Amino acid sequence: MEKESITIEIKQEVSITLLWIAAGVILVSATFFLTPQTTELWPAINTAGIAATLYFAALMAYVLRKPLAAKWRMIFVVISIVVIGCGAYRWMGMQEETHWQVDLLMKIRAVIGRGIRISEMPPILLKALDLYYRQDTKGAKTLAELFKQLHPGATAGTNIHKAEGEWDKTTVMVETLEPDRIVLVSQETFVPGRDSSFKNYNGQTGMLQEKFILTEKGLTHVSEN
Amino acid sequence: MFPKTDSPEFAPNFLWQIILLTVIVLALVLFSDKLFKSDLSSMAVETPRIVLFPWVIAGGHTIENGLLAFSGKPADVVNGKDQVRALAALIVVLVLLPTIFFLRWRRWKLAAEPSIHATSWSLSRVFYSLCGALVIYISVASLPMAVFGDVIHNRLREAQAVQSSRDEIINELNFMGFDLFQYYILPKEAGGGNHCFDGYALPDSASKTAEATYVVTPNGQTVGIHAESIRYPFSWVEVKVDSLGRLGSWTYGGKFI
Repeated sequence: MEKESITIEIKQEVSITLLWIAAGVILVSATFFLTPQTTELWPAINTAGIAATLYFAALMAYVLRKPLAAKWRMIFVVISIVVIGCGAYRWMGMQEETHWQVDLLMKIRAVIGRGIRISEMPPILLKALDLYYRQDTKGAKTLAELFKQLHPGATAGTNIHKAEGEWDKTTVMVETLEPDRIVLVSQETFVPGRDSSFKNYNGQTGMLQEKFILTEKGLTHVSEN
Repeated sequence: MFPKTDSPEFAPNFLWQIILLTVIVLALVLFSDKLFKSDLSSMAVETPRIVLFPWVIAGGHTIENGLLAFSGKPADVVNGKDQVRALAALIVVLVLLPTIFFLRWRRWKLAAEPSIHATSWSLSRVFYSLCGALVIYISVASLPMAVFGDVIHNRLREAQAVQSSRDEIINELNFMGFDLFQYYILPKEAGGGNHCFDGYALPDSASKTAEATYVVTPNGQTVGIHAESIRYPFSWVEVKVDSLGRLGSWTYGGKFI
């Protein structure tokens, strides 16, 4: 009879452990999959993480209940708070850090985008200005004529950028081609600029865009977005 | 009546159930790349196969999306492999291990029978010890992870701030290069140097910016520009501009090296 009662006691422990595990797995999995799925894992693991922490708190309350000595309760509560606190801090830190790195990637991409334009557009125009002032008779040819000489077929609305390969999607558009005024504009198609409502040259909104204006007096740069 | 087990620890069925569950979870974590093979080809960031911390997987996915955005591609929805890995890590770390360890620990602390403290190494004792070791490892690792994670994060930000400042100065020097070339081209009556850099003076707005103070030294057909950082004292950039407006002989000092 005594043997039988011991066996039942073991089975109760087993059942309790299995019950806790099953409850935990269901709770965490349900919150994980019920969270609306986005392009990020963070919302799902954050809500599931909160559910798992609540589960852990309930487990600790169950494990540390009387008749366990108060000192154990105190020790484990303190350790649990420190461990969960540190874990949560690293968790949040990692979330913030990865988003910072992604923002940084796009800032680097914007620096590259501006850098390409700033290094490519001015020489095109300054070359025309150099020719303009090297003429024997000043004004024999207008800025626009000299520019067309350098870029045959260029008219307002044409792209004068020579692609370096299929990957090269850069465009340098001639916005204005007047005898004494040439305006070049270049934009990114997927890199955001400073103002998200800015209307881009190609009809997009919010993309990075740089403009250079050439007159007889020299070059003017307008960082439009 | 049930047959009594030799050990008053876990019942054999329970032990096998737990081991089976653990093996399934580990198998999912280990072989999820084979289960979701089609997703692997698009992986730009490879996280370790076994990850106990779900934030590592979520972070890896965020960075992967950032790299896609960098090259103009739309962000990917979270694939099944990453979902399974993150969920498995959460369940193992916050449910499975603590439940087995703490419930067993409570029984051990309250046990009246001397046999439960036996020193013999049964399978259940090995399994329990493994769970305990992992719980202790995760607990002990959490503090240095929080502290060193922060230190690394701050160092990264500092390094990036220096790099950004250097990039900004290079950008301003590029503009100065064009301004100098324009001065070189323009005739004297148009405010230029008539094919000479002599007489060039930086506009006030350009000689001191938020990033640096600039000193230009014209020397006939070339010009030297020295930029002294404002944000990082004793850090500087120097460059030479030739008569074609080309910038060359870049040198860096201080934190900009």
